[in-house]
Amino acid sequence: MSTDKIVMQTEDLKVSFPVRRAGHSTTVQAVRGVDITLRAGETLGLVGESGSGKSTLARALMRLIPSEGTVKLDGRDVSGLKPGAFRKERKRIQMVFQDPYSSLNPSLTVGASIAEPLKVHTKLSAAERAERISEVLALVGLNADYADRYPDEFSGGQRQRVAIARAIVLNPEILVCDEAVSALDVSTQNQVINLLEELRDKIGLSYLFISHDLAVVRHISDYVAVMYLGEIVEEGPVDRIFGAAAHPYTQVLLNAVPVPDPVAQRATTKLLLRGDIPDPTNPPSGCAFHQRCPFAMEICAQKAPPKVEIPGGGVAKCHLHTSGPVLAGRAISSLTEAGTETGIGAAYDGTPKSTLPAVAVSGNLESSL
Amino acid sequence: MTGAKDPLLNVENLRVEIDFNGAWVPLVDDVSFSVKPGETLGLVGESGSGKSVSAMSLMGFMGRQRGQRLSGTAAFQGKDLLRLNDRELESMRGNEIAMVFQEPMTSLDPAFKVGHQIAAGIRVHQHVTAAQAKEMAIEAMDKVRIPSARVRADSYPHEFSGGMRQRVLIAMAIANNPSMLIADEPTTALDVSVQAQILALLTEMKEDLGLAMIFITHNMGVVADICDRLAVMYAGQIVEEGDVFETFAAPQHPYTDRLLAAMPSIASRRGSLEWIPGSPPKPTDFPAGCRFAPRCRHRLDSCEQPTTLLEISPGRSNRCLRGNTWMEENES
Repeated sequence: MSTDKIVMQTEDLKVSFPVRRAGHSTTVQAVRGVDITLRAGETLGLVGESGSGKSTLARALMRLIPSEGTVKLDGRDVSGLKPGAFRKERKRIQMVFQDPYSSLNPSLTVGASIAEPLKVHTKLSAAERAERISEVLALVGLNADYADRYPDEFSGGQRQRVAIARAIVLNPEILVCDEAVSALDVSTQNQVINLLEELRDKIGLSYLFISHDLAVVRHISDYVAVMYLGEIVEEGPVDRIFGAAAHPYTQVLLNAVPVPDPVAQRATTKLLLRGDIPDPTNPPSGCAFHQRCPFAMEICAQKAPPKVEIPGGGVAKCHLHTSGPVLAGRAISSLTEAGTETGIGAAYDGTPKSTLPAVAVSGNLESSL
Repeated sequence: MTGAKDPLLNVENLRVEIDFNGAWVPLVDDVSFSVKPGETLGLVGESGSGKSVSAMSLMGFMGRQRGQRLSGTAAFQGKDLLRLNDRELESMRGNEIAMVFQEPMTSLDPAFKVGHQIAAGIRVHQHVTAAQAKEMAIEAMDKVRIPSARVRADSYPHEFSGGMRQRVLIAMAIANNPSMLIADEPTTALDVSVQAQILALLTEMKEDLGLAMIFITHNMGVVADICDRLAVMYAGQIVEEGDVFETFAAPQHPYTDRLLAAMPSIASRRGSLEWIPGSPPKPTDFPAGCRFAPRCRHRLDSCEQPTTLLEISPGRSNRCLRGNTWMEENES
């Protein structure tokens, strides 16, 4: 359903926070120059592990926290707007949070919660508001008479429907879903995802869908961006990302998802990263992933990799596509797939391979055996 | 499967009830399963299905307080875990059966160095000096692959990442060489790449140390990765139990079937995701007959009768009143 119309775009978006470390004031760059593009009717999946900056990015887009760089809504730069002026734009972009137990005010009826944005942003009369509330409740699959009930009368899945009703009541163009289904059991999660897809088609929403669950992202997204330490290291159409990852981090992330099929799961060579996400107050030089990357070359510690266009769509930031054994956009798996003896798993186990420069593999990964 | 070993743990008719406004309400009932030495049993189900309650009652954390009661048996190395007194419980916990919890943040005391905390657990069960216990703690940290264990033993919990903290908890759990480990959602709070590391570590531990494990999870991918057998729980009961490969290939109970069908796949995209209508009953409203029947698409009038978990083939059990006759109705 996506068209070429761009509803939201960021350029070099940056967020930093002051922190104190060992008695010293310093700053942590939580988002380090992010460019994303969201097209009308499209779902952009944003994946990454804790500490990668995905929620911070969402909050910056919502202007809940200050940021640098450009945010354009419908082609118009809104990043310079004063808070009062931005308020008018905020109805275009709304958010659904993870925890439906804390995102609804327990002392307000469901109807009153949904009415709040209408009171702030519109001049509708009480009767008109009531009509609009029944409308959105119907859209999210809830009875109109639920408006008079309180959140504690509802299950987690129903509460999340209420949160979605509140988010769409102003007819936004963009919905930012930050781990919106992560707290739900699988059956409930699936119902909410089906609802989001239905709404996308029915009222023409675009989603920024943030999740750590790659299977869910695979299902709902048209386009996927992978974040690592405040940067988008790879992005592309969903099938290209899941079928032919071009960045080693993406590949590890996909490999780490256990599949609900014991035969396939046990036949998979596990690629295990060693260590943790580096300290964001002191990010590594060059490529932020180089200390954990099984293919790291000399250049990776020296120079931040540029964006390289990947055939099949999207970009990756990795020197492998321009230096060393030049991949030039091919899938990362093609590096070592040629010989069965030196399969990709061997590379991640830290076994040196002749196709790679000597510095490439230095036991950066733990053996899975 | 040759040379079937005697079970290490044999749970029969476990029932845990709580006093709810003067009436006894069962949280779990008719729960029977066994775990052989070195075997990993996955206890799976949605929130509220009773998987944690079952495990906690084996450890003496559930069913013994006021307003709770416990019945059934849990035979473990010649003892009945459900009938141990407080002193016996204390000597069993951590020593013969150890437990690892979901939250690596809250399971450690922030005020003490991790080496000290592991050593304290060792000294509860073994007559060793403080210095010897510290050495043993470092050894355990080494075993779970914490880099520079000797140095890290003197760090505080907040100096560790989530994954490393979970390793500390596993070190603590294996420090007294237990024969069984109960892991309650040990990877649920972790990132996928860290989860993969912890699963690899646990697999290694069970092979190297011959540990038997009860692995509680809601994640079917994790079950597929690490478990030998699985028991699927729904509304306080086990509805199906069997070998992991056989169960995933051909689930015998409609609930297992729907649960597996609902798992989104990373490998491909389907039209819309499967879900089960309705929601699980609360313990106060458990139906008298099959508890899944109100949500089951294969339900017949006869499903109103009480159910039992029946062995349908060696090593496989099913609670569905229809046996496997429902299968032919599945999808045209």
